[in-house]
Amino acid sequence: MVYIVPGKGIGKPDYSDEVSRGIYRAGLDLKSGQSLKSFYVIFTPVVSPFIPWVKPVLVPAATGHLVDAETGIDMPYVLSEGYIISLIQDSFGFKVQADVWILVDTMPVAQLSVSAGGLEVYRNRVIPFSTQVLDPTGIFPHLIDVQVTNPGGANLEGSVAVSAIVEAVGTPPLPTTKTVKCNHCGHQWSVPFDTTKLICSKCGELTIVYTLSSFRRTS
Amino acid sequence: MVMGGFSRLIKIKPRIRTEQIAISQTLEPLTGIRIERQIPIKGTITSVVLHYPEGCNALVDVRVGHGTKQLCPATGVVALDAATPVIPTSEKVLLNEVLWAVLENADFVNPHTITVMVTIEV
Repeated sequence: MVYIVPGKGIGKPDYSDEVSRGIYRAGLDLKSGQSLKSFYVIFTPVVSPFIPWVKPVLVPAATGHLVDAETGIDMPYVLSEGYIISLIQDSFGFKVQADVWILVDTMPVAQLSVSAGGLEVYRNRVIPFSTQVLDPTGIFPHLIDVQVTNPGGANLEGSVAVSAIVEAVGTPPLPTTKTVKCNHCGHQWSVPFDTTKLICSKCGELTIVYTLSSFRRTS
Repeated sequence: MVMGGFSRLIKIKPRIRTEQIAISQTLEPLTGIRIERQIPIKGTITSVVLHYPEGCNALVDVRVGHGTKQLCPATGVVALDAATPVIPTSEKVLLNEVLWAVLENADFVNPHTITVMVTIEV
C-alpha cells in the first residue's frame, strides 16, 4: 500500500559520495538545506524579448541591476529571514570600463570590479562574500543587489554573471512556488518553482527563465 | 560399582536454525509504503538490520513490527544516514504471523532504497 507523506527536506542521491569522482575542474556539491541562485545581465544591442536578463546597452552614467535567472525580476533579491547567501562565483566582461558593486540593504559592501574595457574575468571564490558575516543566524531579511554602473562616456556592452548559494539556517525548506515577472508587460505572478517557460497571464507573451531548485552538484 | 573409570557428561549443543526475511524497497520522493511478509517459522527474532544509504539525511522513517506490535524501534521511528545498525532483539513470533515494515521517504527530491533484514532463530 503506497501513500503520500509530507516532505521534510532534501537529501542526496543514494551512495552519491564516491572516493574518486574524476572531476577535472572545479565543481559544486550542494549540501542538504542549500540551493543555487544565479543572477545575470547582458547589455547588448541584440534584442531578446524572451530572456529577461538580456537588456539594451547601458548608457553613460546609468546603473543597471542583475536579474534573478529563476524569476526574471531585477535585483535586489529578497533574502528571507532564516537564510544566508554566499556569492561563490562571478564572471564579467565589458567593451568599456564598468563598475560592479554588491549592495546589502542598499549599502555598498563589496566592489566586484572596476573593470577596464576588453577585460574578461572569471572568479571561483574560495572565500565568498557572504551575509553570514553580517547576519550569521539570518535573523533579518536582506536586500541583495548587484549593480553595474557605466562611468564612461560611451554606451556599455558586456555581461555579468553571479552564482550564489542560499542556505537555510534552521528554517523550513524554501517554498515550492516562485514569483516571476513577464519580460514584456512587467506583470508578476506565482508559478511552481520548476517552471521555465512563462506564459504571461496578463499579456500572453512568453518569457524564459531558469530553474535551479533541483540542482545539487556539477557532473 | 564402577572400577577405574569416570562418568563424563557430554553436552550436545542443539543445532540452531535461522531464517532471514529481507525487505528492500526503493521509495520515490514523498512516498510511504507498508510492506508485509509472512513469518516462515515459529521462533525468536534475534536481530533487525536496517540499512540507510548515504544521502538519506535522516529523511526516511522506518519502523518494523509483527502483528499489532511495533518491534524496532519500540516507539517512534528510526531515520539515519549512511548507517547499517544491527539491533539485537529477543522477540517471539509465530508461524505465518505477519512481519511488517513501514518506510516513509520525506525527501522532496531524491528516491532512497532502504533495506530491512530480520533474522529469526528456532
